[in-house]
Amino acid sequence: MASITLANINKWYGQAVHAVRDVSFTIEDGEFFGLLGPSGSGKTSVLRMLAGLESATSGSILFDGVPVEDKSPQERNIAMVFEQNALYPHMTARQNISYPLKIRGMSKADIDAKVAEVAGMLNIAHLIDRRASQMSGGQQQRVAIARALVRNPNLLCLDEPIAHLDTLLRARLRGELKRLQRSLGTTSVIVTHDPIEAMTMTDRLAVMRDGVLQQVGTADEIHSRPVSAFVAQFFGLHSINLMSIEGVVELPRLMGRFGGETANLPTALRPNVSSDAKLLLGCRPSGLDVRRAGEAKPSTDTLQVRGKVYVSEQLGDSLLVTVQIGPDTVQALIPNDRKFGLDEPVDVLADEAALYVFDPKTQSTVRFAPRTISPGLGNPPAVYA
Amino acid sequence: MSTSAVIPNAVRSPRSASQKRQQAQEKRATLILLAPALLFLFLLSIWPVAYLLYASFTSYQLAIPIPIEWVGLGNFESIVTNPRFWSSLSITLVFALMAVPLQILVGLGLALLLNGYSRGREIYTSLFLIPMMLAPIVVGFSWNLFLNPIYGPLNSVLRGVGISPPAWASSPEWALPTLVLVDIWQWTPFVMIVLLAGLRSIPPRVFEAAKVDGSNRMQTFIHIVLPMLVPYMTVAFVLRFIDSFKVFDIIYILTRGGPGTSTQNLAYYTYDLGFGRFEFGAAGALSIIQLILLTFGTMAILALVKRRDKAPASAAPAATHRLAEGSAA
Repeated sequence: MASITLANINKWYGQAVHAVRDVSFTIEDGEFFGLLGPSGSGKTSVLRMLAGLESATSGSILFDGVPVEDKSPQERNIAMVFEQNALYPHMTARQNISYPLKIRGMSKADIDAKVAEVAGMLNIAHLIDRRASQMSGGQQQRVAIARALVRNPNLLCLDEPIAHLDTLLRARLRGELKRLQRSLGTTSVIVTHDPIEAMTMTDRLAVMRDGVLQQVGTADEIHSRPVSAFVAQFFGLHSINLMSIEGVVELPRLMGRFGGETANLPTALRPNVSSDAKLLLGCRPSGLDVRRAGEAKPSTDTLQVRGKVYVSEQLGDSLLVTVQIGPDTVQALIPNDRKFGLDEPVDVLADEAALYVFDPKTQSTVRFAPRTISPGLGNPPAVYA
Repeated sequence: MSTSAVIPNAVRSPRSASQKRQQAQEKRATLILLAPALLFLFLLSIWPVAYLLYASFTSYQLAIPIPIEWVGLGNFESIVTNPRFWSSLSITLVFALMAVPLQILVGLGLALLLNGYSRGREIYTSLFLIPMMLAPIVVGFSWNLFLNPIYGPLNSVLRGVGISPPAWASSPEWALPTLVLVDIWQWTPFVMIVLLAGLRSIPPRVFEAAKVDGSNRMQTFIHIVLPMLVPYMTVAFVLRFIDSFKVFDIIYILTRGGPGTSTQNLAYYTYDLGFGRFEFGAAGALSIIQLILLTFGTMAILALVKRRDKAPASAAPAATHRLAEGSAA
């Protein structure tokens, strides 16, 4: 176990591709850390540099304060679970798991004991004499995890370990991996493009985009206080609604145009209006409300804009309503006691306290929503995501 | 119950009748399309083999105009009681068991070397394949010149560094090793290309996993690369074994089975019986014996590998199984 620090890490592939740009963060001892980002964001490169499979072009990596850039994966004592196809295909599960111990010259009795222990932890004792080709994808990944854990690594690297499994199995292994990590206390890093995975499994996570670290924090911090429109949109069960409002005027009520419709704006946003009379607002679907047209009265602390229902989807305990406003759409997550027909005219409402304000040019966050809904609270279960 | 059993049958029967008709039509079309190929196969392959089989039981002699008589197993008996047969068999086996393992060893080395080059690998691979593309006759004549005791370049080089060169193909001790050398030179590229394909089929993640597991290069090679190459080595071994068992051209060019009978393998012995002494009956019997030996030899090798590799871990062992079926047929 170790604490890990990355300082000003850069990675160039050839002259043209700057895959990782000046990334710095620290992973605490025993922490389960997530690297989240869309594909091509550089998250896997960061993990591979941590593991020692690739070297950084510049910058330093410290394990417990000791630089490890020149050390091999073995010297760093890291273990890794790959996306898929990384078991030794000619070996049985037992031989796969015991291989790292065997080449370290451990006695057969010790190896057998360790293998039995991890096989029990991962519920693969019954598969122990099968080869990779005789196991399902989920079983193979369990064996791969067992092989990683069998030698008590300083750092466990997980490269999208469950991305290729089906939804139910993924949800189950998510929980198992989290419990396993907690009980063993092994410092772990998981790379994923799935915000749910990152949110549910990790203690803290880093969001990356185009090789640049966007934000580091707990899932709750990133969810409630995203640093930019990108992070806000990428992170969460449902993507945040971005509303680009133009031609904001005060006569005397604050108003602007959104998707060609006139939008009533909360007076509190007056200081955030840009010099060219624009406002970039964000609101999570759980912060939006949808009412039949004319049902709600305009108020000075509510955003209100007219649209028509594009589609409304039952999510069991809630309703996801997509409303078309001119060329734009917004999504609202509301209690499922209401019903809307297709193309029914509606008013979309958002309390001032649920609105984020982003800079229209840089997209960075200008104002966090004073009241936020924590991930998981009042949201549908992950299976709908 | 009875109605539900009757109705589906009534519904099904007309469809199955039309299906049958269609199947029959397809069968006929298949037969017509295959007919030319089957005719050639019969004339060039099945008929000669059948005639060979027939001849092996007769006293067929081309040179002496005696009536052809059925002699039963007489030819087989006289062959297996002839010490020349046993010496030819041992020469055949020694040749195959010297040449093929060395080809696999050198081929593996070359494959590993080429697999390490990312730049220009295709060019090097093509260059290495040149010997394989040459006709064996050309190879034989080239080596004949190369090893010539008077103006051959190899001997000049050896003399230049102070080694007195052996007589190569004309010395009883060196003739067989010389033939082995030529076979290795010509056919190692084949083994190399098979093993290179094997190496390239190993997912890169497996190597990374080994690196992470703390496996050094030697351990990775012994515990991971080599076992994963076994199916490919088996294929190469079997194909090369069959080929070197019946090698003829380079012997014909370089040594003519000599000096004495020191390089006379079964193939050359058969040639000598058939076209040297025109004893077609005996030559036919010898061919049949070779066919049987080769078939059982190959099956034994594949059975060994199959037992070792009971659960196929990749597609490659399936290839060796197919090979087993092919050679048995």
